[in-house]
Amino acid sequence: MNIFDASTPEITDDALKEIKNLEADHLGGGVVRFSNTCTVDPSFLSWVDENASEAFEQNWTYETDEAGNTYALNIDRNKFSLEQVKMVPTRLLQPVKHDTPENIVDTFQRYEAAIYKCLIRYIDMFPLVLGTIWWRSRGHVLHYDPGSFLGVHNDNDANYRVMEGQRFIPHAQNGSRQTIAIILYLNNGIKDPEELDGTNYLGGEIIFPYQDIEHQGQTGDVLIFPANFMGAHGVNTVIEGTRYSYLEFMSHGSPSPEVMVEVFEPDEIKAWCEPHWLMSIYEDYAKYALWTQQGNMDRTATSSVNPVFQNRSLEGEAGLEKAYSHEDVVEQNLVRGS
Amino acid sequence: MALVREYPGCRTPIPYVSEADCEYIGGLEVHDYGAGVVVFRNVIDVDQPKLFEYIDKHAVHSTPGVFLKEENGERWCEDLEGRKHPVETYYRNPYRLGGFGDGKPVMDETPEDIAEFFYENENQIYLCLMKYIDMYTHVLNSLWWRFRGNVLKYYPNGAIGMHSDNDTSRKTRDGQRYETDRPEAIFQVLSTITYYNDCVDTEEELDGTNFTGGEMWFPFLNNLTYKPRTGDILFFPANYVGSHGVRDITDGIRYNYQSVFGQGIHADEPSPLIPIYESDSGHWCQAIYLPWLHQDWERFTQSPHSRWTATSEGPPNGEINPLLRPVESNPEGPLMPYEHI
Repeated sequence: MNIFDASTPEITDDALKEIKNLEADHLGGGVVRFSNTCTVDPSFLSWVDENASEAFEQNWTYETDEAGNTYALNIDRNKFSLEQVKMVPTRLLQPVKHDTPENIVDTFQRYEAAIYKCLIRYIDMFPLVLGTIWWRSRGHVLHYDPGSFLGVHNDNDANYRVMEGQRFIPHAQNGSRQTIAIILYLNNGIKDPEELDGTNYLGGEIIFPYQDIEHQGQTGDVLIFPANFMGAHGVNTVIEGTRYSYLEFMSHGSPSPEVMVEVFEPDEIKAWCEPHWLMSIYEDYAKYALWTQQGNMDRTATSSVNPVFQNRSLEGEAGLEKAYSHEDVVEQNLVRGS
Repeated sequence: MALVREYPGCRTPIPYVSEADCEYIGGLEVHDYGAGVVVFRNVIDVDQPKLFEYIDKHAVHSTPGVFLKEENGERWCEDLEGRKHPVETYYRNPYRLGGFGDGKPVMDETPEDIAEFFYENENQIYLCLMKYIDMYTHVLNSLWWRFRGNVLKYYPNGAIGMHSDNDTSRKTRDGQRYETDRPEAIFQVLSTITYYNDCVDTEEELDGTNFTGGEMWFPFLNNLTYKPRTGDILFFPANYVGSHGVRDITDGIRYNYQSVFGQGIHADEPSPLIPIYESDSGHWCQAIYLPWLHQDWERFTQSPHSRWTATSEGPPNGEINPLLRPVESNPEGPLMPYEHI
């Protein structure tokens, strides 16, 4: 087994029931909170702490400009001042390695299984998201010390710019392919400083300025939200305590290595949650949709908007015979563009 | 209204945003439905008889993969998988001018007044876009290019099924992936529709210029329904939250114009997955870069009409002006100086 492959759980009859019984709360604009999706063992957070300083070192490289000012670059080579670096959460970008203890690897697998079930329920709430979930990426842990925050941003903005007609094309465009973001909360946020007990944190709420949402995460919450501009969000400054979360993305689009969009087969990925195809998401969701229909759940509200019931062909124009081929797509567009 | 960099022939114009435009944009009649769905009221005058005559002449059937068949007096239509459907299915999707086929809203032979109308339509979309960016500012760096300016014409019984504009309806089966050969949708961020005639409630109100039915419907936004009104421009996110359909047109003919903003992929021309062109490209509304978008919006945001100038700190909800972010890549493409008007 490839330890980096967060294999998706089998959607058994029990899993179907679990998905149906999830506590889901639509906060608005496609932002959905699932509560109590899994438990978090304190020993897991200790393990995160032990690995945070090494991760911090790996998060940053330092350069000095011509004027002699030293600045930091994150892994996407975004510039930060040395002061700003102290206010940025540390990311365990590759939380699972070959020497990671087995129980920790199992824990990550368990988180991924919980997230996948929430994802299926989320698709049932917004069925037309289904066709935009092709691959999964960037499962990683965030560790916010007091004083850390995230400024408002959205997750499919690649920071393109144009000035005087000249384009500044981002060299990494994986962000622009992201359709939904998923956060699993690993400890409790609180509102009252009296409640601080060494396991929780004060501040650190996630805010969505365009949806008028402020959410204080609780252990086991899974928050799923759109990656586009309407899902712009930030994290308020953590005032006291440490905030832990696990974050990943679902994306669509063919690989384009020239702009650093790479997608691997699940058995070929070489690091935890390196971008890889989700092989059975359509069939897994279809199973859930058909099961709830058999259960006489009222599907009238969603049947006309559900790809499972829309009888769409496997590929509109190209028909059943034409399977995916990146090369063909490129070639056809070259012809069309000429 | 807007001052436009002039291109000869059928090319799409790109306006500059002048001081006067800033005031105009600030005064636009806007209705914000929330969730990024915004309508700008009555922004363009439509000479309906003249425009509809032109559209009627050039719009073509555009249901991909559906064909009319006739044999032994029987008529039906058939899809690519050989399934039979009633003839009405063929007419259910709108006819189009642009998008499919050779026709475009503006072609070399297009009469000047019609071409002027479409130029003005694109200009108004651009000016409304300034206001939209002012409202939902984090969209700014996701707007690289615009394309797909095309006219849609719906006959009675016409409709558009529920869909979202960045969904290519991709599927997997038994571990095999099936993908579209037209991947542009993946890169679409923001959609706009300009309405050319009115939706009315009753048959009695039908007067040959309007239609009944044909409302826009957003199922994931509390079933938000928008009733088309002549000269309105509707903006909405292209992602799944902005999924929408057009309800059956029950009588009359419905005309509108669609134009889309998108992001992504490379400066090599044509780009491998979606061809994007310089803004003086020869075809109407090919995907073209918007050479002055950031400078135009910067100008608007510094004017007293912007939400960002209402307080010295900007909006109170933690938003960060994308213009303040450092630029991290190298410039490409032609240098096209921004002309301060």
